[in-house]
Amino acid sequence: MTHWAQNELEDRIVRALDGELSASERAELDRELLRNPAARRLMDQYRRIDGQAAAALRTALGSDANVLGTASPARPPRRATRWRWGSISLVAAAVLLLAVGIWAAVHARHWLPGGGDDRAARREPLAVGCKGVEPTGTQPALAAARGRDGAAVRSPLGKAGVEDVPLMYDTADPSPFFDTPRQGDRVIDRHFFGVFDEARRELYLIEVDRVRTRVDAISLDL
Amino acid sequence: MPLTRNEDPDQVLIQSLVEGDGEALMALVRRHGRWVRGVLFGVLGTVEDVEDVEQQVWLAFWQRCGELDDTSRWRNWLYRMARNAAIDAVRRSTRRRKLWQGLKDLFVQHPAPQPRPDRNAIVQEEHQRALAAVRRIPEIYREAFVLRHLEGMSYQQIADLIGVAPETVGTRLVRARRHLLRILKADRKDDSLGTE
Repeated sequence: MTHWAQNELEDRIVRALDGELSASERAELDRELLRNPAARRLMDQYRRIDGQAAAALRTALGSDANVLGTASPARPPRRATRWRWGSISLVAAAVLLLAVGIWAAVHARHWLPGGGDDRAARREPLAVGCKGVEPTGTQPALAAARGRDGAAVRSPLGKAGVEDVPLMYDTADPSPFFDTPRQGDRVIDRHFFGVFDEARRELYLIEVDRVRTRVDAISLDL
Repeated sequence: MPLTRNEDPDQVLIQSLVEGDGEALMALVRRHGRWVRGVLFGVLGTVEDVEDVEQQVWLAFWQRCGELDDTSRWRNWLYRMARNAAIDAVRRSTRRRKLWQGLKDLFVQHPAPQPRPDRNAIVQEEHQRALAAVRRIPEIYREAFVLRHLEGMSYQQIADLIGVAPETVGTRLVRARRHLLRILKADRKDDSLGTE
């Protein structure tokens, strides 16, 4: 009577299920299965998961429709790039974020203190006189940036109905670019990301580039 | 045993393809599309990603089949092409996913309670669960497992395709099943804990 180690038993069972056993090996395994209920259980489990996996894989990957579609055989293959709604919506979201960021950047000088004076605005650094952002209350990220005269900066989106949303300028480490004219600045490295405020139902769009960090609030109707 | 050049019925199709016959490509996709998808799934792990890369692989195969020196090795060539395309896709998507996942998570709403599923939905859910479990098998074992279960390839055929010994294929299949059984058992345990 054969007593197999667990590894050997598994190996035999798997090869039996795959049809890779010789007749004599299969006979040995059958004897072991008769003798050993644990071996029978293991074989049943493997047979079951084989069936589940094969059915799932064939359902998911069995169709040529992705490449062939419903085209006649004479038709050449479709283009390699296949746009799906998920991709389209991601791209649309990215474009929207970028557009909002660019719009805000272009109009930023009008919301800064003394922003009405174009010549002054061009000569002044973006965040005037701040050594850093002063945190207030429990929301340091929303700490109001203050201009040279200490007044809170008005939201760029105030016209859209969102009032008193502070702007935050990170001026802790001003770079040499800081004093260059804003109009005509070439932003080489710019990122946008959003932070969602559940309580206010607002998305804070945060733009980061080499010279400044800005937070804009966007009302969401989810 | 692997097929020799004279016995391989696909050789005619490959020759036609090299000569620019688009119909030969369609015939090859019909004959071999499934294992190519299996190779892609082995690396990518999701059906959605497989669909994205699959067309690129066949298009590249069509465009570059003229570079094939030894047409009897076309299967290995297509295998490597599929595998490399999948690995490239993984690299490309990893960074993109990281960037978007954080933002996407903000807008994911908790799903509302679903109505009682019908039989099709139950079968579909079982398939999804099985696919998710296969996805969690380590890639090195998953590839052989998918080729075996999707296409019914023998150990020798898998070995010829991926360039390892048949014994290695056997070992990988044993380990793949061991992983799969462990994953499914753990899932079931989680489910029963979740319903308690």
